[in-house]
Amino acid sequence: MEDDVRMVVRLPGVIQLIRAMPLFFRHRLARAGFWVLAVIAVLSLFGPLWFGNDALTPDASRIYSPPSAGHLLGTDQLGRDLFLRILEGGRVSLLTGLAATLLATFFGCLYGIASGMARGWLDRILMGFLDALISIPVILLVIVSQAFGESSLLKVTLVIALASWMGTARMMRTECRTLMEADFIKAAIAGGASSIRLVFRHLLPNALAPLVVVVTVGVGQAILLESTLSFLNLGVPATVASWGNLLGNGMSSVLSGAWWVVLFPGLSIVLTVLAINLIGDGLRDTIDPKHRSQY
Amino acid sequence: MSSKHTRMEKRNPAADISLLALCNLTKEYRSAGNLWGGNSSRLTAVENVTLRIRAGEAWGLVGESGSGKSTLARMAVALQRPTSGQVVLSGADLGTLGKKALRGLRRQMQIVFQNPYSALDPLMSVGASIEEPLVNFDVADVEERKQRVASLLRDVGLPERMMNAYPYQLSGGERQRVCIARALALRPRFLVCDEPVSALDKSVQAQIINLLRTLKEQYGLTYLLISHDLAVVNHVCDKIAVMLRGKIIEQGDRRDVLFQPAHPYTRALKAAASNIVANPWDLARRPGRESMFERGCVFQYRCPSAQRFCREETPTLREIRTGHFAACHFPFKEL
Repeated sequence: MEDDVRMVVRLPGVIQLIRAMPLFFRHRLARAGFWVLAVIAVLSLFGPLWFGNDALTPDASRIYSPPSAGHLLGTDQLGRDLFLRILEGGRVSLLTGLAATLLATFFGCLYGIASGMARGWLDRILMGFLDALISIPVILLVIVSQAFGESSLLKVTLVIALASWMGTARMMRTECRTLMEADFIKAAIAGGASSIRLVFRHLLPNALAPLVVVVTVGVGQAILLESTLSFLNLGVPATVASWGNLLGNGMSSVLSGAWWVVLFPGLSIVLTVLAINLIGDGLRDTIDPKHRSQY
Repeated sequence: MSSKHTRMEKRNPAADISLLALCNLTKEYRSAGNLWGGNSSRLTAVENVTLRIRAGEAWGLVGESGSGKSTLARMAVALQRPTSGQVVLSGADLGTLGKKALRGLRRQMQIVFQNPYSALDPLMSVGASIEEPLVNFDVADVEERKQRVASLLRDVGLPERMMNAYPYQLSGGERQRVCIARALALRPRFLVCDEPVSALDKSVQAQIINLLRTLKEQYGLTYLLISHDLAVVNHVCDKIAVMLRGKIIEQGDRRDVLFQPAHPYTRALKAAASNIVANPWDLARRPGRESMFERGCVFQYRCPSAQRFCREETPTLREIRTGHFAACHFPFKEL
């Protein structure tokens, strides 16, 4: 048994996650979420390579053809295959969501750890500022962002990140404050550990489990936000397909009776976010001992 | 004064200079109160404590819960800042030092915590925990550090292969041994043990106590051992200070304090330790009232021999016999 432990001796934070994995896959809902997301992700990323792009050229002869063997999910207002459009949009939506969340996590960790380790006035200023930021409506942020040039993927990613890093910051601050009170942190300080060392060797590894949960759920939220923004034409450029754009473009189609143009992109969003949330719940249940008995 | 102690003083004249001096140390906690500052209450955890610890001494600090022992311990190793007063280690005032200089001085002072279950990072192997202080101060290279960790483990009575174990695989006693090994890694001169055995069961307590005694000789340590258990202190220490409500109310050589206690509180403590049947020195009597008065002796409400004078005048530490101090107007003086 001790030999097993030796292998991961340099990666303390990973241990907790690795240990949780068998438990995670025994968690039925989390397992379902994982496979659903895996299928969606693989199809989105590699689907276009596989199925080719032929069906994406507009074709007036097959506008609004309902789901059939030839076009699994039907075609849209320009006669493009909806299944391929959804895969194309999925790539954009998933990657935007992921990138925005990673950015938000980085910001949030930096801010939260700084606030959690600082005592007194610095902590109070940082938290006061955070409270002020949280009370700014996302839509205001979006409108302001419109002033800075054309909409682009990069801009949407930044806006989503800016709108969502505060939760991570709060969480990390709470975690750090709790950990800073722990005897093992005091012992590390007494042993001459620098602040950098405290952060990377003690705080981050010990806060990794809740962080992973927050990040996972955050990706789902980011995808939702991206869809909303794109639906309102405030998100990714109209020329780029994303799930939100597909929904927005399909609005008028419903009136023509082409329900599939809206239903399937909507379903993709719901399925993806649901899968991600199930994974998040599963991770929380398996990593955090407080939840472990509940499933 | 014990003969052993006298012998050591003769051998080492430098021992006369105190290794650690706590001078008029005070720690106040303030509750925030409301926006206008009203309702803010102050709690004095440690009040005007002065203690000089000479190299080679083993001081025991006893007192009930909430008497400020742990706060004092943490201030002594610069894990907490005193509200006022100084902590002077090897001639350097810890409060005035910059971050770097303070970090340097940490090599000389280490602490062992009460609860070995929370004192080890759950994600770090035993070896990594013990090695950490060595890494912090860039002591030796990887191979030599490993050797040192192994010898530290041997010194605290653990097998070398435990290096690769994780805290959750160890028992309470084993964890406390690991904590001690970590504290000794930098070969400190001064070691604070904050209730090192109170989280352990009786049989393990004895082992750890004996270990602390052995290590004192082996590493030439100076101890400040905090405990509420007189028996523990009696085993390890040669000097004793008794704390009550943030103040030292009696201090002196182990024999004097334990066998000829001058302060009624120390007597009561001793009686409570040796006798669980109710006795006239009932410590449980009205302890809550103590927070209500401001004048007079801190023990007045529980003291069976309190006089009117005790309620008016706060007693200060007075020398009762050579090297034996007590803060009591009417100390016991039986010889």
